[in-house]
Amino acid sequence: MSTAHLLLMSLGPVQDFIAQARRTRDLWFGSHVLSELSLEAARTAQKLQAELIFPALVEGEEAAPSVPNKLLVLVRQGDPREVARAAREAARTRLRDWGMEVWYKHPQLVDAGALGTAQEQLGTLLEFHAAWCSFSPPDEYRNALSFVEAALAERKRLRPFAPWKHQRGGRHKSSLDGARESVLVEGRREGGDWSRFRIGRREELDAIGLLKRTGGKPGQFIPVPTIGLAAYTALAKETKAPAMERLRRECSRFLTPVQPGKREWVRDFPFDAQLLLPGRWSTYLEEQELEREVAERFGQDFVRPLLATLGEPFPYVACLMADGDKMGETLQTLASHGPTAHQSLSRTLSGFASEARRIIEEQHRGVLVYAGGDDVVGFVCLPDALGCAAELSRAFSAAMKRGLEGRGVKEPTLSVGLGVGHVLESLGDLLDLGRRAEQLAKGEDRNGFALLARLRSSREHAWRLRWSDGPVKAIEDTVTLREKGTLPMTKVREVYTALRRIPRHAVSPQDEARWRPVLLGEVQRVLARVEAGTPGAGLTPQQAGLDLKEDGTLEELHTQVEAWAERVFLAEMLSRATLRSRGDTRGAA
Amino acid sequence: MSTTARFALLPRDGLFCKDGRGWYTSDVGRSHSHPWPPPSTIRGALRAAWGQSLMARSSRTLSPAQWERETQDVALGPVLALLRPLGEDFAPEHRMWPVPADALAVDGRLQRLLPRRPTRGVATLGTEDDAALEALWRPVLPPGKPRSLQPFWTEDALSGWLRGETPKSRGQSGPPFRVDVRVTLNIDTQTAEPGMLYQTPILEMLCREPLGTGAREWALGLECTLPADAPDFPGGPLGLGGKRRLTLAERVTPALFAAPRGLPERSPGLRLILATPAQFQRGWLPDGLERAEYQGDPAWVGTLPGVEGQVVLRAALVNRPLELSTWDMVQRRARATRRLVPAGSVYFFERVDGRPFTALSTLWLAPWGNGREEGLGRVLPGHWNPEEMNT
Repeated sequence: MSTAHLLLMSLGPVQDFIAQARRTRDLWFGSHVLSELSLEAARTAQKLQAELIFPALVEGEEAAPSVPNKLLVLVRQGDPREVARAAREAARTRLRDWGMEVWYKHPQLVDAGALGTAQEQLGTLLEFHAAWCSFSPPDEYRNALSFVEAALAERKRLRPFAPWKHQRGGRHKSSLDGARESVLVEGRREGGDWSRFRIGRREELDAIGLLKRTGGKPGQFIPVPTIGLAAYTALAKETKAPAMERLRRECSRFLTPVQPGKREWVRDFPFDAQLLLPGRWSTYLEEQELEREVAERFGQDFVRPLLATLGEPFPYVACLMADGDKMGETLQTLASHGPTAHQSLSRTLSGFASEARRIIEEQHRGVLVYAGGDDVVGFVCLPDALGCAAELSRAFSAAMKRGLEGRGVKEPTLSVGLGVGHVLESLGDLLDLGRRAEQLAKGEDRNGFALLARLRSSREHAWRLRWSDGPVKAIEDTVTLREKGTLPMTKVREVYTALRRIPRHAVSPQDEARWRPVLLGEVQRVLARVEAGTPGAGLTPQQAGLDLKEDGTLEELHTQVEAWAERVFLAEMLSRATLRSRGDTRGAA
Repeated sequence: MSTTARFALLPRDGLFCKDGRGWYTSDVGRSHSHPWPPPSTIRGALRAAWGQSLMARSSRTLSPAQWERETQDVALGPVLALLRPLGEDFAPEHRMWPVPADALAVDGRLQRLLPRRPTRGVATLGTEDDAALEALWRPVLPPGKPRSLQPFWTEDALSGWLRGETPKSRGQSGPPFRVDVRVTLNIDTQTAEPGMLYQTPILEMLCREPLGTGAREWALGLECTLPADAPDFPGGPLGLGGKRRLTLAERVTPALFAAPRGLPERSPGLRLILATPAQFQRGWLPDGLERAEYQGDPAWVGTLPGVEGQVVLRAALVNRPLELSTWDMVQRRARATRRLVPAGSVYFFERVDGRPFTALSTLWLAPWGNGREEGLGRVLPGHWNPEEMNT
């Protein structure tokens, strides 16, 4: 029996690196950089005759839109250490060269004296870990995989670092990470690349931030406000076509349109839609070097008429994060079929990742940031978000059913989280909301959906249900309740306030016996006072969408009522995001 | 003549310690805060208070250079996180500790990570080629997906952990954040300036508890050295952190900083947990260790402050660095970023002569590395048996 080596490599940092983003392009390009570094490492391993297992394909039409940061390869000949080392150096060189390319391309932005600082920042960013062992394929594959996964996880408990050596001191730190020194030149920031890349007067970028900001092409990235306001611009185009056309023509005079690609919905308004937010058009256009008066007049002449008839947009966006449940277990079980079974599953996941792009960008009004298998990150406009999440979950289940047929392996599910935040939040904060929503969706029992929203008042609302319990229908029913006007928010807040005055846990059976009826009674009393058509009739909890399990413990009741209140708060938010034309009132063209 | 003072700082309107990012990290102007104040912020507040008290006592105004000179001997010793029910005096049972990196929660259960020699059959490679790094012992991770832990442990949990016992609770969350929203007003129109909105996350130090258990408050316990005898210092509220939020000082006793009872006096191996972030000359690697060959493998061998004999570093559990960027109030400019080993990191040592470590309690909150005057690098000594295989 011949022996080979199983080599597992991981590149990072991932989450922190991607989350360090202020502008849309920082986020998109940061994710692209990571994917490119993984691609470079994978290509190098292939050149050294290593065989890719996960991902099975990194290039061609069948490959996933993004290359994951973890690479599992089979080294049948040669030294696995040399393969790992070559992959690491290839990724590192790619990053360094890329960073230096943008450095020399934008002399207006950079401080020539900071070259050493920039080189150090680029040279120390990459984190690389690899583990390998020899085995006899295919029989020992499963054990070998366990060994290398364990060794890699153990090795990562120590993340060595060295102090910075090339700092000049007295410089501000990057606005993206707060740690690396800025490499931007000091002094006036006007025109040229400063406005082209929207680098603000008080903004600072390190060499990595500079790469993220300037690495792509202007117009290549869809601004998050454009995604968040996509339903609004669609409605505006449909019902106020002349006014939208005037606005569009005016924008074309001084702004570069974004490239829609296959995202047809972007054509409704291919500019940064923060222009439609009162209080933002002046700031935004001044950044584009328009006079303040001109910017203000633009708003009055071209945006105000739209707002007057359609109302102000609801400026929130959903950061969608999805992740396959118990994929580790699935891979471990499947490993008994040898590396070819993993390669086959990897191809299935690549197919799902491509499908995820289509679902998010073509079937719904959203943009995919990353899809590297069972891991999906994107942004979707709020009215489309629930449907998009459900469609992704269905597509994943279908893909897994096809991919694992006849293998005797339990098909994994997909947990999806929607983190909702203001369209002008930093991308890092929106991602954080998405990530927390995904964690909530997973819960203890996986296969879940969660909605977590942070409103401008900084209040947060969160709600979770398993896919099998129909979360989309549950929340849509609640939206309907709100839209019918049957359930006033004042009563929901009253129940919520009452809940905060009642302990969640009883300290004794007597305490439990005392507080349970209080909680039940308060909920029923408040809802009974709702004036819903018939005077004095009120609402029962069930009519309010609260299916109270009256025999539950105090803690169970507390959790149930709290989840209901959170669901209503979130339904109210979704209801506000669902647009209806108000009809012409005044000033529309 | 210098003197030692001990008090607890009680922020009255929350606490905000901005990290190195500027104010304008988004179009809605959201600033970001450290999750817990770094010791350097606390020392800065003490120096400022000392300078103010000097000016008040001498009725003179200090220039920035004088201020720098005359306050530089204000040194911070150990800094503790404290959490007490309202109305109680501070006592050791109110101490809260950073969660140690050798703790892991899997399947709802806490487990200790015990380092073992790397398996011969599996080789590893890191970001740099370093044989000594690859030869370090590694913790054996239990099967299952690790869950995140709460950032703080209680006194009970930590003192048990140092003895080698596993606590039942997964820890205590830190104080919650609230968000303060501010706008810039246009003087002429008396309306908010477009785009000039910013939000700051504030650590809310007072926590309301569920009915019946009252309220609790977080505080910072500290021991400091002052350049002269000053029994009334600080004599009034201090300004602490961003926007110099008002903070009261309450005297505490030396017992608040004492080692807990039951700390093992002897141990075959030594486990050092960082109670505060540490600054070492070579980043993650503690000062005093040099590359050498030990038992046929490359290793780091050397001496530790307060520890007898030569030691060999067996394992280190260290996460990514805490990047500390601070503001020089005298020069009015940003200082260079320092990369600190985060609090909670754990190092494991054996003595080269094979003898056990003794007098562990003398290492309680002892300083390690640079930045001692800033309260950096305070350690908690724990028991470790290199032969132990199961948690």
